[in-house]
Amino acid sequence: MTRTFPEWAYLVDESGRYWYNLPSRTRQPVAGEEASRPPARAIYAIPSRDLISFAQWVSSKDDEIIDQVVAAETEKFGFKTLEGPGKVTDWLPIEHNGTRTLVQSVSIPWPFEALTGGPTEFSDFLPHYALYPPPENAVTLWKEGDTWVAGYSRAGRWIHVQSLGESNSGPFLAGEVQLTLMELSAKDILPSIREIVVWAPYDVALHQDLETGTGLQVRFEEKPPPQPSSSAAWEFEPHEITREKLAQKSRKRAMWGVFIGLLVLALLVGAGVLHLWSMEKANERLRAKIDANQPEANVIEAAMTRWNSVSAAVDPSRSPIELFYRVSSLLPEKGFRITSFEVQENRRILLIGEASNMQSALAMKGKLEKAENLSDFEWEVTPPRPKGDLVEFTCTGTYRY
Amino acid sequence: MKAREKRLLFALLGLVVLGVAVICSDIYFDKRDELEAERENLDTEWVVIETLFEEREVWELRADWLENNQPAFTTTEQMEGDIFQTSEATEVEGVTTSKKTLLPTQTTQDYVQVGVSVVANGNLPSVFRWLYDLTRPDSFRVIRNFKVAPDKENEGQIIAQFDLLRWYAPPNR
Repeated sequence: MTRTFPEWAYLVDESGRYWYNLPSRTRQPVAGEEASRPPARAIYAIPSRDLISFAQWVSSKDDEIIDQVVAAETEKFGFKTLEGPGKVTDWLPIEHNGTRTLVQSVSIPWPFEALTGGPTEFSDFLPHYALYPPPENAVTLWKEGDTWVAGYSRAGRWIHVQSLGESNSGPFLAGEVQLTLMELSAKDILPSIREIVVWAPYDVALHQDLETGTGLQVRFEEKPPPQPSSSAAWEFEPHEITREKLAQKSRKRAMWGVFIGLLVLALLVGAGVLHLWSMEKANERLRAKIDANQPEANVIEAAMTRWNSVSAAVDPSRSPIELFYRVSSLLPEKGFRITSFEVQENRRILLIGEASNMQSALAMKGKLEKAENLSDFEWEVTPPRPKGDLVEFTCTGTYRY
Repeated sequence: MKAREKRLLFALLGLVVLGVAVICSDIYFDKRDELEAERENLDTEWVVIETLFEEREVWELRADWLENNQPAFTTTEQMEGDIFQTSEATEVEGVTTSKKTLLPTQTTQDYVQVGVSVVANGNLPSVFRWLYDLTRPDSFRVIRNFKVAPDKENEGQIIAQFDLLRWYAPPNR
């Protein structure tokens, strides 16, 4: 899968940081603080002074074993690779020789203060030197800000990079390069260095110092344009950036949560208001319907009230004569007689009677309670009591309605 | 603004939103209960009206009947004279009346009441037939405080005590 890079890169040269448009090969100065908001998504070129590089042969081709070896070697520098959520150590196989693998490992040993809480538009983090194609089997020198950097290439690939500090002394630079070359040669990492290439304007003194100090041929040339597409597949993401991305995700989730919560709340409020409005409207409609029909209903109601108020005159079922007829029709042919029948205020019937025996009295009580045409009255019957040879009983019927 | 201050601000905003939500829900439930209670009352009112409309024909007939049959108010004296004369039962065979006392005239919204308190003696069929004839619906006479008992002095006779009332239509109807 081909890796696609953004059009902008945040590079560094002897003049310091600048924005670089890759397709048009134009540069744009950095406005404000370092790593301030990029013009668009951009590659962040990690300066060489912020990297620790080392190359070594590992006796394995297994990625997991190489991983472990690289982690152990990195920790020798006192640098913990798992102190944050990002990826600050990576390695690349440069060459295979039998069961051995030549590996270049690069670590970012310290935090990027400038990126803390900063922009996350940086989509790729690459070692600065890796953006430039190296001269074959050469030592390359260039400046990043005030710092001289030496890059070492094996065939057409970078194998090591070294920050040389801010000294411009030719002999010092030559000495540092010579020492590194000896170390790398001894480890069979750089077997055949042919020349030193300096990506800088020509400097006679530096030329002579380097040539004298290393015994290698020195050549000055213009720094080539960056070519991220042909760079090695490094993958870095500083902890600060990963933290910021995670924080942004978290903030985004929280904002979505708040938004959804507020939306739900707004929907609930809306639904509540709509519900109340619909209830109010329904009540108003019913009220209007009632108001429209009320006059007619009042006429009927008035007729009803008038009828009820004279019901004692016009409803025969409430007449004392009719009630007496209904009660007396319950009497047996023999063995019972009414001694007093009274209707008080058309609402209460008081019946006193005499029976020849207790059975007749009790039978009369049962008949009164079961009589359908007297069911508008609630009957209360006192226990029959003997009166001479007879049994007297009293019952009271109270109109229910 | 520091992250801690932001968190505090969000927490406060959250509390405000929660408070507003609680107040809104309280208002909503109060208003809903109020509207439901109002609806219940309106439903009851409507059921009453519907019931009235269902019985409209009956009540219209009854109203017409009352209008056509309730005796009209004349004068108090004439009405009292009429009820007193009725209570005499002079033309009724087997019934004698006594202790007749005029009752105070009463006026209600629906009728003017004149009445007389009466004691009637006679045999049971005669007294009850007389009372039955008196209280036909279209006569608007009412018997109230009715008490009947055997006449202890005359076997086979009864004594009936009652108030005989008559309800006339109010004068301005």
